[in-house]
Amino acid sequence: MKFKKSKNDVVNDYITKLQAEIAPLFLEIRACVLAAGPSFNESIKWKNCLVYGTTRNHIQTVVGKGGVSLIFFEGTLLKDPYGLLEGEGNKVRTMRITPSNFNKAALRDYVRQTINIKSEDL
Amino acid sequence: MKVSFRKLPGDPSQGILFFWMLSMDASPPNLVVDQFIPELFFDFLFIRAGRVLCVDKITGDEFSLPPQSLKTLFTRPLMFRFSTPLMLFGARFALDFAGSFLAEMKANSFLEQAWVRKDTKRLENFKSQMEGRFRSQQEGKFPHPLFSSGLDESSWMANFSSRHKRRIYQSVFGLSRKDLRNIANLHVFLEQACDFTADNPRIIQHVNPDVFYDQPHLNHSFKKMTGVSPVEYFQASSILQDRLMAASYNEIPGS
Repeated sequence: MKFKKSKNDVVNDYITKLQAEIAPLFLEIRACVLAAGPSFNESIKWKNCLVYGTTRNHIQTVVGKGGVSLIFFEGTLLKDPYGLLEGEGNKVRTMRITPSNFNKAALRDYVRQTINIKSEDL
Repeated sequence: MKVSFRKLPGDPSQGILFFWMLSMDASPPNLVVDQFIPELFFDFLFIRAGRVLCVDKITGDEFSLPPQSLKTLFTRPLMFRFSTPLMLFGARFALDFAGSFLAEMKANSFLEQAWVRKDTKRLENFKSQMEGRFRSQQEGKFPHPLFSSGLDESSWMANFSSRHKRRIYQSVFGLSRKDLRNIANLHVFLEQACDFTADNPRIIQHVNPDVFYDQPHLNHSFKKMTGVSPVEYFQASSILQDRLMAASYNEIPGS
């Protein structure tokens, strides 16, 4: 499997062990997130959640059956012109992605908005 | 900041899960804060370079870790402050290890040790010293392990009274079985949070009715043990514990 190596070996380890049916979508999403947020660090939270963060974590990736969900920790602060963010909680919003509904423009927009949220806005 | 983490496999027959080395370098030198939540593992820490300050988030106590110490089971959150440049070696032990640790096991503490040479520089060398130390130690507190699998008691304990079992748990782990269960439950929730299906999009509000009565019960238990809410936990970045957890729970989604 070819992918851009992370600086964090634990992440590389995780990616190489992904199941073949979900790996292409996962890698496509990862490439899109890192392109829109080049300052992101990657790490694995608990045992199998890939998280993207700077000084704090911003997005959590959860792999499910047939799709990948991205959980935006500051989701309620994001503008959602695409209507793809789900959830009713006070903070987080989830973007659920399957191979057939992956909207890259929307994801790039959400990532850029997330990065621009300042600590004082939280 | 440059962060490097390496691990080598341990010897499960000795209760050693894996050995690891963490190095952090920053220019100029700075302080890095790392949050730890309770886990059912013991960790041996050897500070080769740098300084590690430990903050008990409940009592507010602050202290410097000794160069070599065994972190026992914690029921409350901890905060480490690492000063860079840092080189830290460690070994992670399973619960079984407690049965072979002959000294008193006190929970929520760091027990000072002198298990490896101070001049140890390489992870391979650290590993061989640790394995040699535990290979020579044959006897344990009990002839058989306390648990058959997970936290299920072995059959040899079946005839003991509840009172005697409480004494055994206290002497081996420094904790009651209920405390161990609470820590296990915390990770049951985290497992769900990391592995939810399409039916449960709101992970934080996903509650396992076998473990937690309701959302307030989950939040209360979680906050008591970690010091933060579930969302805050996932949002917080941790350099060492995140890597240790990823190495410990080495499972792949869907497998």
